[in-house]
Amino acid sequence: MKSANVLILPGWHNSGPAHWQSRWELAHGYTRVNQHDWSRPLRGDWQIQLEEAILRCDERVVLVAHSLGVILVAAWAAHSRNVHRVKGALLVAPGDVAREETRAVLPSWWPIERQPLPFTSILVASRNDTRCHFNLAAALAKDWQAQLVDLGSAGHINAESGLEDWPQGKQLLQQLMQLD
Amino acid sequence: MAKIFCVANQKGGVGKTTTTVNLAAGLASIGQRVLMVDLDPQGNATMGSGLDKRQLALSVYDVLLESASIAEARAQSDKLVEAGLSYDILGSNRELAGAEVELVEVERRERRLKQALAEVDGDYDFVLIDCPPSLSMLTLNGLCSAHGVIVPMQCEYFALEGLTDLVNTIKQVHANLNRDLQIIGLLRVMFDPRITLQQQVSDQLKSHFGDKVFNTVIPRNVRLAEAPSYGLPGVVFDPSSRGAQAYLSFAQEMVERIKRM
Repeated sequence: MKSANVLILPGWHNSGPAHWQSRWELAHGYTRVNQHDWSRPLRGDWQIQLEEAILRCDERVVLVAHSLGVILVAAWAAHSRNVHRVKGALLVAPGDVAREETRAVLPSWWPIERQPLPFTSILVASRNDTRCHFNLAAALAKDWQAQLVDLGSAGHINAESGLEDWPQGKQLLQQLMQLD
Repeated sequence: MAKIFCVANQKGGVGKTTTTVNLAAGLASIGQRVLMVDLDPQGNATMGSGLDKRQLALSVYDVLLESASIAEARAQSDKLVEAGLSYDILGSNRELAGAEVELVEVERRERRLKQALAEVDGDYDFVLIDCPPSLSMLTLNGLCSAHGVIVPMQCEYFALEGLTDLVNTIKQVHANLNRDLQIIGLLRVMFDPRITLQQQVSDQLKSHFGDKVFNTVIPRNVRLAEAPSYGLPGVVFDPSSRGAQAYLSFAQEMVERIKRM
């Protein structure tokens, strides 16, 4: 598949240059789904940006989501008529928007959509992620019918995790890109 | 029982938002109880009424998704209250664009706003809905809720083309979704009598549509244009300006017109 049809979905505050999402984008020409406002994320606005990005692609896409981007994929997939245009999704370190401090600033993102995702998905979670307890990530993987990958102690699986190009993640992405 | 009106025109930039906020302010100034509903994700009517669209705790989006009632989501602007004139605002921001995705599989999705408005019907004399220029699920929600449509239009060469599209849309909604819906009237806005073409188009409108053309004409006026940058309707920003005076007259005309409805 064309690399431009791999869509990068960063989380709250976007992913900086050291984040594996940005490194993959730069190295392979993947497409970042840009949002109007990264600091005040509005679920409806983010969903329509994702929908329009998918409709701009000329074949089925693979989604590569991190943190709030993972919650976005679940919200979008619960409603969109265009889910058939997604081949698969790599969902990394979901953000726990149900936490009290997060709900106060991101009210429209809660509750998290928990219905099964209508496309193949892999959820990667970390044992010491301070933004999302491993047990919640595992429960989300079960509800979404996603394959769960336990990354051990890798924090929020972001730039601070020191993953650099994160080769293990690339292998998971390759699996999804090779789907029929 | 509240009278509910959409301010709509499928042509962009014709003064819909200016008309909505100034009519809301004008009606409030003569003692009418008013709710202004911003159905445009651009949120300009929200900002033009003195609410910061980025700071909305709840919006019309939450109402359409039934995660909040209008009673919970409506707000008032401190700026307007300080100016001694206020109306309730059901605000919007870019979040609202997501409703196009989220409502797509929902039954009776075009009636969500109508159902929500029914719960606050006794609270208002007028509900004014600022519609986006496209024919979307949002616009349909507005048209399904309303008793009538106010159509602001500039007296320019292509004005009638946009009007044809809107009239066809209203006919379809009237036939299939809302038997109450009618065009209340055409409002000539940004009018400059020194321009011969505008005068000619204005005369054409009168001869084609007769009583459906409001008597009030809103002049092109710099104070109306400046007001949104201060987060105020022109009627509040500079009540003595010609534009504000015209909208105050229009508010009176609306009150008279609905007595005949």
